[in-house]
Amino acid sequence: MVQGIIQGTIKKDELPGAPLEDKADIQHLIDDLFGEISKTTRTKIQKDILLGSLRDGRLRVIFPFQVKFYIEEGKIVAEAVEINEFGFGNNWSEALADLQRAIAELFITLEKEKKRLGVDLKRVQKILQEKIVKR
Amino acid sequence: MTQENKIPSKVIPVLVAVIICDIAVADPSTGKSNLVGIFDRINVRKFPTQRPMSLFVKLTDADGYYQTQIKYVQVNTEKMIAEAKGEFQSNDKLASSNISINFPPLPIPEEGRYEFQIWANNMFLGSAFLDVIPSKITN
Repeated sequence: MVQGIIQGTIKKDELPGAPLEDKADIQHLIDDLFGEISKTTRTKIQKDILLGSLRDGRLRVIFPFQVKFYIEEGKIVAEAVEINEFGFGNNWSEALADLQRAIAELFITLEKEKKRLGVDLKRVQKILQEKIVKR
Repeated sequence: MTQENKIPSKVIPVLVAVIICDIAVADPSTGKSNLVGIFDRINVRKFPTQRPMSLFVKLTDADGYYQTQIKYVQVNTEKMIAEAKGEFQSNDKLASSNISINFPPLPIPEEGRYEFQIWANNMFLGSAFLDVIPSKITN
């Protein structure tokens, strides 16, 4: 549980909290992050779900997120496919809860930084805006 | 309910509450929900065991027809131990829907975390945890 939370937090700090002035830097960061993940051994679990909530009282999901699950180095990884966002945990529940927190934090951060986003993050924000509304 | 009305709604309901308790029952005269003995952990002396439990679920912002599933899952093994299926129709988005389920004794094979997952039209809405702790009291 603790490990799942720590991993999610690190990811959040690196993605939206990155120096947003330089688009190339952000892309480099994303490539590094996703590239690193894709290098590790990943086993897909036959469990795809539609996620209809974010465990965040400020936000409401109006269109569900498609979520896929993998086993990676003994951990469960939940991936929101449309936005390439990940949650980690020791089991399905923890990974999903971590992903819910990650998506909520990403939505809030991108809203705050909307004037400074590069092309990729703008695409992610557009998808999030289609799926999430503030209460 | 006609077949035409049974097209699953794409509107995602908001899960207001999921509460595990000993008894969840609606008062027949007032329709009010009564929840008795709310808990989120239990102490168990000997495994495996079983325990009757009830679940109260409150949903709002639902609009249309929903097939609901409540899955009782052992979190560590991700094994679904029990499942309750149902359906409901909501014609008023501003209204709330209360669902009370009194389960028969549910198996608790070992210590750890269990959860009741709430699904509507195959969308995951949320869950309630139950922590099962071995009791240290001995005879």
